[in-house]
Amino acid sequence: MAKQARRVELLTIIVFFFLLFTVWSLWNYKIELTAPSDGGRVVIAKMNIFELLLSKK
Amino acid sequence: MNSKLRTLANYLKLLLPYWDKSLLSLLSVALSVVFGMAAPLITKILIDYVYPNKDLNLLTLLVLFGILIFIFDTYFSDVSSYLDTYIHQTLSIDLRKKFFTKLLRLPLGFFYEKQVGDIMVRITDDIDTIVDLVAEVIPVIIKTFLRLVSLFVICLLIDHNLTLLALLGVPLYFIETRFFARLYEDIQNKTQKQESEIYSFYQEKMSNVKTIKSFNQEIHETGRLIDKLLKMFTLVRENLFLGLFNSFFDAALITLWTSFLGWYAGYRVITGHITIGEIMAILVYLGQIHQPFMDFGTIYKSAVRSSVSINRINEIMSANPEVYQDARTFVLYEIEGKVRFDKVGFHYPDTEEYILKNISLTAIPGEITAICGASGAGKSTIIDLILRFIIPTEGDIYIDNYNLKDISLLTLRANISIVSQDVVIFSGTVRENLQYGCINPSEEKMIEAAQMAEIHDFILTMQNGYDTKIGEGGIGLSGGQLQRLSIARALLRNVKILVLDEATSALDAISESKIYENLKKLSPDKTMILISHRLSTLKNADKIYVISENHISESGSFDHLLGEKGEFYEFYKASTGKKEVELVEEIEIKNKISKREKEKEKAKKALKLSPLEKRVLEMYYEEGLAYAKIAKELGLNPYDINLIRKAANEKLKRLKELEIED
Repeated sequence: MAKQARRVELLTIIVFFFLLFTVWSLWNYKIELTAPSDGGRVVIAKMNIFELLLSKK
Repeated sequence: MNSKLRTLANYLKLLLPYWDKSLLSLLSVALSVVFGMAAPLITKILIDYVYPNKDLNLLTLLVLFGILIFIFDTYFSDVSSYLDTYIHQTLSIDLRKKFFTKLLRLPLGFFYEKQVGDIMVRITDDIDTIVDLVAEVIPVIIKTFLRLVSLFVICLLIDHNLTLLALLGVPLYFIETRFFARLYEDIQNKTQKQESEIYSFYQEKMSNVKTIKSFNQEIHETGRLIDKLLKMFTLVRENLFLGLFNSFFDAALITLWTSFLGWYAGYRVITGHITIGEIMAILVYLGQIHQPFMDFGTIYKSAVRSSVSINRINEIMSANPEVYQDARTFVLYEIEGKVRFDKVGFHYPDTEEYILKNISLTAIPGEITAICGASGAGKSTIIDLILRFIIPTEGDIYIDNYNLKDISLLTLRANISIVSQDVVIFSGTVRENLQYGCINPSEEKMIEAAQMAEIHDFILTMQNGYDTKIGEGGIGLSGGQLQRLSIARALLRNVKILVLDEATSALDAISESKIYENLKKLSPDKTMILISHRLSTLKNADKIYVISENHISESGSFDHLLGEKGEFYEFYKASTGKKEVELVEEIEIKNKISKREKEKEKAKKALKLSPLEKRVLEMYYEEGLAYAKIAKELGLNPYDINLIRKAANEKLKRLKELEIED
C-alpha cells in the first residue's frame, strides 16, 4: 500500500507541473474578442482566458 | 474548551509522520476548489458575450477550457480522496496499536473495574470516531476556508453590495450550529454508555451460554437484552429528532436567506447595476456559499461528538501503566527461587477490610509448599501479590534477597510460571498455546513438557497432533485436558518458581498423582507453590500453610498438622468423612510409622562405613593382603587393622538386618 501511495504522489507531482505549464501557456495565449459589424467581425479586445473570466467589461 | 483544543492538537500531531501526503492532499484540495470556481464564470461569459456576439471561436475555446478544467478537477479530487483514505487507514492502525499496547500494560485492577464490552467499544467505535475527526479536520477546514475566501472574492468582484448582504446571514448560522452542538454532546455521551453496556451484555452472555441453558433463562436473558435495546432505541430516536430539527433549521435559514438574496439580485439586474450573466454566476456562487458553513458546522458537531470518545480514550492513554523496567529496579538473572512473605497484609484501596493480614511464609527451592484454606480465605490473593498484580498494603515480599518492589516487573514475571484455576486457551494450534510466552522453544523441550503433564499421548491422537487448532473455532477440550495443557505450558517456560493454583482440580486421582510424581523430579531445582483445598494435592506438599480468617493459623507437614488437631485436622475429618476415633487411630499409626522410619534412617546413618573402613575391607577381601602389609600401607599397626575389619563387618551385618526388616 505504501508503494502504491508513493507512485500516486509522484504522478500527482508530475501532473501538477503539467498544470503549471498549461496555466503558463494559457496565460500567454491572447484571445481575440470579436463583435459583428457592418464590415464583418471586428476585434474589440485581446486578453488571456483568465482576464476574460474575471473581467467586468 | 481550551483543554479540549489541546487534546485535539495532541491527536493532530499523529498526522506528522504523514506530512508529505497531507500536504499533497491539501494542495489537491486547494486546486480542486479553484477549479470549481470556473464553471459559473464560463456561464457568465457565454450569456453576456458569446451568445449576444455570436462568437463561435470563443465558444469552442471555452468548451475546451471547460473540459480541461473538468479533467484536472476530477484528477485532483480523486488524488485527495485517495491520500485522505490512506492517511485515515494508517492512522487508525497506529492509534489502535498504541491503545492496545497501553491497555495491556495497565495494572490488573483496571480490568477488574471495567467491563470487557466497554473496552471493546473504546477500541472500535471510539477510535474510529477520533480517526474520522483527525483525518478530516484539517482537509475540511482548509477546503472550506479556501472555498469561502474564493467565493467571497469572486462575488465581491462581481457585485459587492449583494456579497456584503450575503455575509449578514453568517452569524445567525453560527449561533444555530452552536446551540445544536451542545445538545448533541449530551446525547452522544448517553448513547456511547448504552452501547458499551450492550456490548458487555453480549460478551458476558455468549461466554456463559451453558449456564443460561442449564437454568432455563433463555427467555429472561432475551428480555433483558430487549430492555437494553429499547433504551438504545430511545437514545437513537432522540438523536434522530435532534438531527432532523437541526437539518430543518439549517435548511430553513439557508432557504430564507438565499431567497431574499435572489430577490435583491433581481432588483440589481432590473435597475441595470449588473448583467444577467453576472447575476447567474453570483447566484450560483451564493447558492454554494452555505456549503462551507455547513461543513464547518458538521466538523464542529463532529468535534463535539468525538470529544466524548477522546475523553474515553484518554482515560486509558493517561492511566499509569505498570513500570516494567527502569533504572531503579533490579533485573533478576540467575535466581535460587526462594519466596518469602514478611508480615504481609493487603486490602483494596476502597475498603479497610483486610483480605490478608500478617502473612509470613517461606517457600524454598527443592520443596513443595502448599497454601490451603476455605474459599475466600485469600489464597489467590497470595498469587496476585507474588506476581505483583497488586501491591501489599503492609509488609514485604522477597525473591531470594530482593524486595519485590525493587525487582523489574519484566524479569519478575519471566521467572515465575503460573497455572491458574481458570485455564485460558487462545485461538490457535496446540503448539502455539504450549509455546505461549516462550522464547526460542525447542520441539524436544515441548514434547518433554507435554509428557510431564501427561498430555503428550492425547495430543498425538488429535487429527494434526501438535498442529491441531483448539480454542474458538477449533476443537474443544475437556476441563482436565485444558488443565494438563496449562501445566505443560508452564513447565515449558522452565522457570525457577512454579505456582499451581488448583491446577489439578479437574483431574482424576491417578492422573494427578502421576503429574505430581513427575513434578517432584523437577523439584530439587525449583520452588513449587501449590494452592489447593484437595487432600490428594496437599499430600504431595513438604510444607502446608493454612489460611483462616485472613491470617496463617497453622503450618507444618501434612502429618504434623493432623497431629496438631487444629483447623487442618477438622478440614481433613470433613473431607474424608472419617469418625474421630478412626482418625486418631490413623494418626497414631502414621506417627508410629513415621517415628520408626526416622529411627531407621538415624541408625543407617550411624552404620555408614568410614573411608578407612572401606579401604581396609577392600585391601583385605579384594586384594587379599595380610594385616601386616595393610598396616604398613596405611601407617597403622596390624592389631588396629584387625579391630577396624571386625567393626566394619559388624556394621555391614547390622545394615543387612535393617534392610531385611524393610
